[in-house]
Amino acid sequence: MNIRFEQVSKQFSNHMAISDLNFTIQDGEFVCLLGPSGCGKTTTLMMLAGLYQPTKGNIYFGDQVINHLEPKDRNIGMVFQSYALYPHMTVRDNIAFPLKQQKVPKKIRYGRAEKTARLVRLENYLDRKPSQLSGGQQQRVALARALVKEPNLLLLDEPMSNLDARLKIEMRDELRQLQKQLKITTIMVTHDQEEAMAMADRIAILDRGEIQQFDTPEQLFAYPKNVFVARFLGNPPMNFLDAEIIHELDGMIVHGEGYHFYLQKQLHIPNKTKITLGIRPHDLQVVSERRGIFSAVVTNIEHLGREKLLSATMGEQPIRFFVSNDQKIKYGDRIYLSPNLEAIHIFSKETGENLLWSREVSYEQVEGKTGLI
Amino acid sequence: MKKWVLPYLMLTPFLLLVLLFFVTPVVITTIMAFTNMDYSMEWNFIGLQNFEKIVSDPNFSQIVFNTFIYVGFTLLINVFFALLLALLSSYYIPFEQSGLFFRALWMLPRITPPVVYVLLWLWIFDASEYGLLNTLTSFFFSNDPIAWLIDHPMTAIILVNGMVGASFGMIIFSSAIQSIPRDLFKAAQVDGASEWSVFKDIILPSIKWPIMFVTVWQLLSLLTSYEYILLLTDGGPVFESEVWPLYSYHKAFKNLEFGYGSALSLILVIIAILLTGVLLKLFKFNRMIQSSRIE
Amino acid sequence: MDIGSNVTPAPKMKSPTLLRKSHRKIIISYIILTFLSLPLFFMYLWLFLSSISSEMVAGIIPKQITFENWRFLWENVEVGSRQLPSIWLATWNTLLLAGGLTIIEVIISVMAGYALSRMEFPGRTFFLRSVILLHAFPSVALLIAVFYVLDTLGLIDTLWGVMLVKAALQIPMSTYIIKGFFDDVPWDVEWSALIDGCNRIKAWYQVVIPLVKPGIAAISIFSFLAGWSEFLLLYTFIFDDQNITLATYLQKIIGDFQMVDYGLLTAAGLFYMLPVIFFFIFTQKSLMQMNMGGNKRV
Ligand SMILES: Nc1ncnc2c1ncn2[C@@H]1O[C@H](COP(=O)(O)OP(=O)(O)OP(=O)(O)O)[C@@H](O)[C@H]1O
Ligand SMILES: [Mg+2]
Repeated sequence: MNIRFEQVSKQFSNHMAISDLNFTIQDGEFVCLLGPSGCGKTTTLMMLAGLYQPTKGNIYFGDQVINHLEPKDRNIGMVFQSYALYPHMTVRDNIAFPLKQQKVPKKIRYGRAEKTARLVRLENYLDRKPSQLSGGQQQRVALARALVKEPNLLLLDEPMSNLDARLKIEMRDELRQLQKQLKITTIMVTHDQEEAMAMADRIAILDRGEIQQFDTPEQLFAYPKNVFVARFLGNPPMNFLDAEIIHELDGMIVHGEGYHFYLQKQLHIPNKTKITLGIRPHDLQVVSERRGIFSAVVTNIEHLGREKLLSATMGEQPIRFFVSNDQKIKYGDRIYLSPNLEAIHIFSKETGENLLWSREVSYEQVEGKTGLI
Repeated sequence: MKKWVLPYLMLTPFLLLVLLFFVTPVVITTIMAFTNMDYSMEWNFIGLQNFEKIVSDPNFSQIVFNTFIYVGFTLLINVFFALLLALLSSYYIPFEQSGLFFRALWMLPRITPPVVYVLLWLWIFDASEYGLLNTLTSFFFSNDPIAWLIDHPMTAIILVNGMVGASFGMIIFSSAIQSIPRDLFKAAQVDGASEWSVFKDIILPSIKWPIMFVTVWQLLSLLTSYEYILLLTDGGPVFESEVWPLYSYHKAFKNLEFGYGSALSLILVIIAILLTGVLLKLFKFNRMIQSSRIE
Repeated sequence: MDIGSNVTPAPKMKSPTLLRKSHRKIIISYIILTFLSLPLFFMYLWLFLSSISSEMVAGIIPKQITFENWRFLWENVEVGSRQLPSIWLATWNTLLLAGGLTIIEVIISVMAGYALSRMEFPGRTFFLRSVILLHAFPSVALLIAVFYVLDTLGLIDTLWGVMLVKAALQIPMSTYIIKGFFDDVPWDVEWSALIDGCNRIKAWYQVVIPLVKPGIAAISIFSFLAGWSEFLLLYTFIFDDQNITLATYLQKIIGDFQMVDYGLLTAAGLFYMLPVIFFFIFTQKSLMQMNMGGNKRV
């Protein structure tokens, strides 16, 4: 069952939470909604669940508009951030609850609940109340309750935000395996980019109620469509430098304060257009003075174990990059950096749009690449 | 089914009872005030005669005077005595358990059925040497027994009502005081603040609103209720402890002058509506309204 | 002398005086509070002692223990020339009134409280305001008109009539209280129920109501005690001895005696107070909460 948003908007009394959302999710796909707090992720899920209704536009399950379908008739499973278990019921009754609503006979109901409990490794906790479980166990109860009725669509609203770091990684794998095994179309909300990168087939990046980019994790990282996506993804974040473009024969010169370099690429923009240059910390290398493009003074050194993360300033502008542990660089040292020219990004200063890649990577191409898994 | 059918269905029994015993009575009181209905239960409209009668009633001045004294002094006890109890039990005594014990003790008058509570006071005010007050006065001053309820009926009803109302104020003030962060007091102590300044600058601001609330709330109740007076002195001797609402009750249910009683009530109802408006302003109303999150 | 020891003595020097000062404050507070509470203490002590003694010295010291005061339990008491109905009839009626009131009040206010707390409908704000307004409104001022309404409905001199009136007076408050409990139920639990296949009503009684059980317990206790203690409505609207309740029973003994028989009165009063004492001891927290809501009694 495909899920399609068509020009969907949601307005609360005076606040536009979602505006003109358009996207399609394929059957069996695992999609993450990623974005800063308040960008409308939960609102999107709630509309899918039928708890909120779109102010405008249509939501399709397959080719059926389901805007006004009651939540109970949608056959979806949902896990909330707080898990929302029924505190007055045992784990067994919690998991069996959706089946009880479908009037499944008690014996069959409990049988299926136990089977689902085994799936999430909860078979030993069936008679406990939710308050007697750990966070991870509660999360699995919520998951089992969402899965037990074999939903067409699984909605997860930050299901792992209450878990500690190690459990999180464990649950990530489990959830991902389970989803592939059961082939349930899944939409997960998160604001943890690592989690999204690790789990999703495709990630939709939301900001202020609009989709910024909807792509596979690799594509998002390598070809961010605009400054927002570039800034949002990647840790530590991409470096941004102010510059302008001067056209040359066969290419152009990127000219900034205290640096310039030649790029063998052509852009159809006016000469001397102001741009934002984007370089990921990993794409910068410390080189000798002669080969260096940027010259900077080191202001901070963080030891990350395998490597070191350095912060430096070029005049006013900060820049961050990695060096290996054996490089002897101290505070206040002047160093010279060279970017990997294949991996730099040029964004329009005005619109934030990626000028180098936006035309090369079209949406259809990416969708063709992933499609069904 | 439209979305709002269900909530209205759920509200129906509530609305029915309110309609039957609040809305209708307000209307009936208003109409009845302009009739001279008596035990025959006939609606004879007599215009403003009832209100003229109120003003020319020979007891009018005494009853208005009594009402003022009763409401004023009881209110003072309700607020200041309650404040004293709350301060002592929630601020000066830092031990949770004993504070709770005293507050619980002071809850007793409020939850004791009125008949029993008044019985306790009847013993205190008993006119023979058996009563508590008379026992004490004869012990300390070797006085002859005094018929307290006959000699000092107003004092008696003020004391009896004051004590019941005090526990209400005490509970509200206590919880306001308890919600002040303890660190604030410690900081004040370290800064060397005086007792008075702790009260004025830390405690008072946080109980300002509760004090206003309790004052208006109690004013509203005191103006219109008379249950304890009815049981203790029944307004007597003669009219010495008769207050306005009790007078209205007596007129209606003792003399069966329903029309006149209603006219007396109507004036109270109007005052009550005005005071309720004030109270509504005092409620932090918007905090209570949360919209539904299911569409 | 090193730096460390230079720093530590400062608070040590100050704390004894602080301690002594605050100790004195606490002790004085205890003395004042105890003194203020003494009358209260004696009142209730007397209630108990007087009920089991035949004669008292100085008003409060029992001379001889007796159960004669409790004779109302096994025989019909005579007041003046009239014989009072059995206390058990009065107890039964009181129980009927309090129990019926509790059931009516809880059902109505749980429904209304949920609708006001959780549902969207035109006029919701208006209703919320009215609930507070009604809660504060001094309904005793309307007693004469209520008499007329009851008379019209043929409910004068019936416990049902009093029960309905009392319920009407109480539901604004209990609705307001239970609404607060509903407000505290997390939305996502209710959402889960809807997604798991419940409609609004099913979600309400299968998931939400079990979560407000403490609130329901609180308003149940409260309305039971309110019904149990009711006096004025019974005194005004009930005349038949068949409908006598404990409150009016007691009032008849108080009112009819020339020489007050305190022994009998206190015994009957104590008997009447038993459920109140029970709830007072075991459910104090709820009772305090109720009073925060501002119960109407002066
Ligand atoms: N019921 C509501 N009434 C009014 N405004 C709302 C409501 N629900 C959400 N909003 C607003 O809509 C916007 C989007 O909210 P939403 O809950 O979807 O954010 P989110 O992306 O899930 O954020 P978070 O990561 O913090 O959970 C927010 O600005 C929020 O304030
Ligand atoms: Mg959210």
